[in-house]
Formats: sequence, structure tokens, C-alpha cells
Amino acid sequence: MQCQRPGILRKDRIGYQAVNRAGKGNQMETGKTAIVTGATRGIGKAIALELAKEGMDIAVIATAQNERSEKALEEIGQTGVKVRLFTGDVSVQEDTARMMEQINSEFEHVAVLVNNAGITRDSLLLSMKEEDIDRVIDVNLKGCMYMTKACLRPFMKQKKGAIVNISSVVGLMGNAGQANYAAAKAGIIGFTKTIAREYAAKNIRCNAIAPGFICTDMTAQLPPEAAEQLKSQIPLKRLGAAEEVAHLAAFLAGDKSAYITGEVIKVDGGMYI
Amino acid sequence: MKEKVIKIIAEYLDREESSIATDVTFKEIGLDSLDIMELVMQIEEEVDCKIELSQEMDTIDKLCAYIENQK
Repeated sequence: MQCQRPGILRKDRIGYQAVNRAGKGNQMETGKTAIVTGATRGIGKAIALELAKEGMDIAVIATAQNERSEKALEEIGQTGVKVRLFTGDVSVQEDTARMMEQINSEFEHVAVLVNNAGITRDSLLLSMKEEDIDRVIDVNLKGCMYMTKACLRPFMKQKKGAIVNISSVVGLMGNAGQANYAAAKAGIIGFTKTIAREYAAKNIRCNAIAPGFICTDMTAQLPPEAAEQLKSQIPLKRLGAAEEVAHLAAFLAGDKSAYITGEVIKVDGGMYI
Repeated sequence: MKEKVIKIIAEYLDREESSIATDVTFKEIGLDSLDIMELVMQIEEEVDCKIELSQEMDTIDKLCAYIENQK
């Protein structure tokens, strides 16, 4: 992540480890596993790290094993938890079922699912290719559905589970040039509320986070003028850090949010009020 | 196998096995869709069989016929 301030993660990690050792402040129980899709970079990696710092084992889901995934696994593993990579396409139901089987055989107790995997294929709708519409809906929305479906059985057996879906403020407010992405992210919100209603009786919670402009590989590609213009539209006058989304994800994944379900929370510096 | 399924459902509902009819819908027995999901997961483990639930599979008889077919 090009925009990330290198000192922050390290400082945070040390801080959290100290808290864990003291047995305070850790809302997660150790021995539990969180599945995080798209956790090899950006917001997904920050969430995986945050949950790992809280003592959860991490099942990372990514499309491929490569240098980036190895680096992410190493970084997450440094927190001392068990971390494994599972590769597949979340938009293919057979892949999600297979990965879930593999995860269940490697980990004992899957307690949390974070649906973060997402892609963009931006252009104005008039010039948007059919394949770009399909791919963004498939990965961002259907992927979220398939992963959730795969996790519901273990969650129902345990009579407990927390699902955190990463939506976006553009799913709430729309964004020119992102018809496919905004539709998929808006779809995630409807999906989140539905799952919250369907499985509340089984103590399975489902919430969504709607990040605004967060400093990641995606936003780092913006030209400086565009980045400045973007900041001027944000009341807090800066882009967010992936860790700031991760803090909320960890809260929604843990027992401190036990009475919160079907909620959509923005992390956007006030961009969409 | 049908006896096993009836036993699981009777225990779940805390009722006598003899009071569970196999030819009436799960809804009529007093099970909602989430109950059925939960029971199916339990039955899968007991009979070692993967069950893909469908709308048509709405009685114990139909469920058992499906399981027999899978074996």
C-alpha cells in the first residue's frame, strides 16, 4: 500500500500485543478463526492483521499464491496466530465450497467471515463493456453471497457467527464512472440486511462497512490533482487509512457488537453525511 | 433410516416419535425453514449423506426418499 505510513502498523501491533498479554481489551476468544477474502492487500490485509492482533487465527482467501500473498501471510503470521492461504475464485460457488471444506479441515472453529474481496472496472455506463459489468457484479456481490452461504452451515451449528461485509460509500451515494461497482456495493447492503434478518434467530450477525476513500493501491493510482480534489470533498480533509476500517471490522466481528446486526456503518471522514 | 430421521425431529421438537407424521409438511409438523436447515445438518451427520434442500422436499417421506437415492 503505497500511501500507508510505515510506522503505524508496527506501533499498533506492539500496543495490542501488550494488551493481549495483560488479558485486557481482547474481545475475541483465542482458538477462533476469521476468514478474510482479499486479505493480501489494502483493507482486507489491514482487517486480517487487526483480527490477528486480537488473537484470531486467519484463513486468507485470495485468487492466487504469489509474492504478495506470501508477504501478507508472513506479516499476519508475525502476530503469532495461525494463518493459512486458500486460493480460489469467490465468484465461483464450487470454489467457495471447496475452500470452505479446506478451511474446516485446517481450522477448528470458524467464527467470523469478512467479505472484502472486490475489484473495479471503471468507465461511464455508455462505454462499459458487458464483461466489466459481469465481472464486478460476480466478484463483489455474488462472491459475497457464495462465501456467506458456505459459512452459514458452520455458523448455524455453532449457533453463533459474525459476518462483516465491506461495501462502500459509493453504494450509498453513487459515483460517476462506477455504475457496476456502485450497484454491486449497494447490493451488498441489501444482502447484509437480508442475512441479518434471516439468521438472527441463530445468533448469526451480519453487518456492513461502507468505507469512503481509503489509502490503498486502488486510490494510490489517482493523479495528485485528482487526489487533492477528492480530499477537498471530505470534511476531515484527508483519505482514510485501511487500519481505520479494520478497527471497525474488528469491533463488528467481536462480542462488543453482540447487539448490532443489519447495520451499515460509514468510515468516510464525513464524505457522505 | 426413516426411524432415525423421525427420532431426530421428535427430539428437536421435544415430542413423542409416534406423534410425528411422515407424509405431512415440515411446516405442519411445526418446523420453520431455519429449523429444517438445522435438522438437515444434523441428519447429514447421522446418516453420512449430503443433502441439498429444495422447496419440493417438504415432508419426511420425501426427505428419506432423497437420502435413499443418494446412497
